[in-house]
Amino acid sequence: MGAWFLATEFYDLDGDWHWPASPPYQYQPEYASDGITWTAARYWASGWSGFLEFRFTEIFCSQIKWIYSSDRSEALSEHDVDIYYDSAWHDLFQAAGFTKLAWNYYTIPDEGHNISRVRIRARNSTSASIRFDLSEMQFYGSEIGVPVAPTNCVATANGPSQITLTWNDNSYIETGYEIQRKIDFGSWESVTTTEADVEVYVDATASVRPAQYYEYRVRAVAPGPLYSDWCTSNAVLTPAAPPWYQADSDDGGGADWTNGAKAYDDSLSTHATGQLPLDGSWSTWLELTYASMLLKATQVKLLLATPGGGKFHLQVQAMLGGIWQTVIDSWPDPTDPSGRTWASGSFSKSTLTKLRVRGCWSSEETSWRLIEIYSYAEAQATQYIVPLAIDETAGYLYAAGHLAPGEVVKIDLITFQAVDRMQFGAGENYPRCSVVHSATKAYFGLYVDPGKIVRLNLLDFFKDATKTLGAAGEKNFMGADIHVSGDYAYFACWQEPGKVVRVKLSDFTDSTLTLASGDDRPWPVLVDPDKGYLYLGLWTVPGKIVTVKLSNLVRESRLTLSAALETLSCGAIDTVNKYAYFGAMMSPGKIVKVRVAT
Amino acid sequence: MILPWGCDNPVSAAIDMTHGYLYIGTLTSPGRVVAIRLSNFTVAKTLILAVGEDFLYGMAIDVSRGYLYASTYTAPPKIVKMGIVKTSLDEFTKIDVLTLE
Repeated sequence: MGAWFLATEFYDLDGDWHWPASPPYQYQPEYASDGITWTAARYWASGWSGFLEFRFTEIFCSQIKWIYSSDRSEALSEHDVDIYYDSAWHDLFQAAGFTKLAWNYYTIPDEGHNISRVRIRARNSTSASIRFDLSEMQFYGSEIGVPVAPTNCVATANGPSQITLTWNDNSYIETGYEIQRKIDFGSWESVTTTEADVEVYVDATASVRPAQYYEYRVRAVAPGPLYSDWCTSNAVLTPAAPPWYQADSDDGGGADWTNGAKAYDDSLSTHATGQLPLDGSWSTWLELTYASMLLKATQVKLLLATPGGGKFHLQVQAMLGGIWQTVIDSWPDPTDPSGRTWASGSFSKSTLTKLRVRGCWSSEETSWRLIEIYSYAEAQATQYIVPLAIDETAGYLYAAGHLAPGEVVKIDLITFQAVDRMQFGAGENYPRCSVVHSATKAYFGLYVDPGKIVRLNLLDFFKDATKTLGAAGEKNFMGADIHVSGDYAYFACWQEPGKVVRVKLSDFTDSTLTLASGDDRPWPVLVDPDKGYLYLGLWTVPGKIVTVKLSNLVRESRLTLSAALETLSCGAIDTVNKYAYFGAMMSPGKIVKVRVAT
Repeated sequence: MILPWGCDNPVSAAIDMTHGYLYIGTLTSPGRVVAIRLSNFTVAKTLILAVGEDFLYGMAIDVSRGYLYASTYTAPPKIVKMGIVKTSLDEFTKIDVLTLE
């Protein structure tokens, strides 16, 4: 049930609703909404008056009524009434012809609004000063004291431990805004209650942590307490930061995956898509690699979604201590309205280098979305060695630190002691392969995008040049070999299809060969200088070996190994007896011996 | 060729054509180094390194001096120095470890 309400505050902004002009007043604004019809506020001039504004406890107002009198005719006594909501004044009506000395009623459109402010002005349409008395104005409301709900509630992650929440303050009567938060699809929990007239809150509490999923909601609080409706924010994902880590690269995932890189881009709005084969078999694996190994890893978690909110069979394996182990084998059930959910798995503290993910068809879904995947580890390796390059003639070994930026340690082969160390420049990160031109230069291929090759002067042990590739899409150098007499070094790009960058030793110029479709992810690079061929072992299933003719840098052929030999990861060549040997990264490990050109 | 039990995930290699051996480092914890005789393509000997000498991503050989070097993918990193087979399999043994802080 509603009731008629009186104003509690009055604002005569132009000072023209008082009469006479100076105290004591016989007519003043407070008389225009005092419940007494024989008292009034008076405007006595020509033209438009200023606004007389009424304020009152916020109500859901559906109607106003008023009584006035004037020396002009009703047809010439014009009224202009505005109401305030959604942070702005809105014209209610501007008209003449209202009845004098009787109640006039006006119904507010749209069944009413939550308002606490109304203003009126009057016009005597004559050049002469004419009396206009507003005897009474009252406001009909269905409820009193319920604040208007905030709108446009937006959450933004500023970093791994801070979220900013903004909203529009639409209420006039609130004493504050109550904020609640939901973490990782849990229950709503109170965060804080702000002061009145606030439109922003920065959540930097200890509950805001990296790689978590947050939603917020805000409502206005008024005395009582009475509450507005909630305004719910968008969901937000805080970016990864230690101890949560994201992968650095992926293998494309084969036939059943698209946009693999979207699974580790720290974005809630993008995802990798995994198809679930309709024959009920497992999809291909999407394999993810950490450029820096994770030490003491204990947990993996995935934020995923299904288009229809249905379940499917999920499997995640982690390479722990060099061995693939199943860490998640479950049926995620995205019960959240967003269709999103977490899947997670824990394991004994281990060193983690890779993850791989696949799904299996269910009767409910034919695809799923891998939004983000994280690994939890107590530490990330900050200094370790990957490539070794040896200069037998000069008697030094060069060990590269797979760091950002990269480092090289020079080791004396006689004393077996580190004798010097140098650091690459900014952005020259993650040396992954290297070759040495004895006592002259060393070349380091970097696992970065765009690809870079750093050249060291070995005589004085300093970096004397860096080549940035990328014009032909070259990136992520993984393997290398050198052909000193031919004046070239060769670097393989971990791409699909792979590329080979040839660098001329004498002038550090380059040329690129893009391999054929299916010549994916070359790793070991073996040069046979006598016969003029280059052999590339491919990280494919099954494994493949590509032959490249050195004289013109042309791909000549591809050998596909048996299904039992996959993912070639190292190699060496016997240039005397003309055999190449490739290691297959499998468990148990396998070595394949291949006859090369004789 | 299937490597011996525990020698999973070969990830680095070096060849000694002078003495006829191929050396393979594994991505295991601890790391293992397998010596393969080229003449008959058989495993001659396997070295199991110490705890913490893991994930042998890098390998280099100094045939003239008779040493093999493997780098570990650990923090801190280590370089493991081994003898290579010249006349006897006994020569293929761990000699020293250099920790790079």
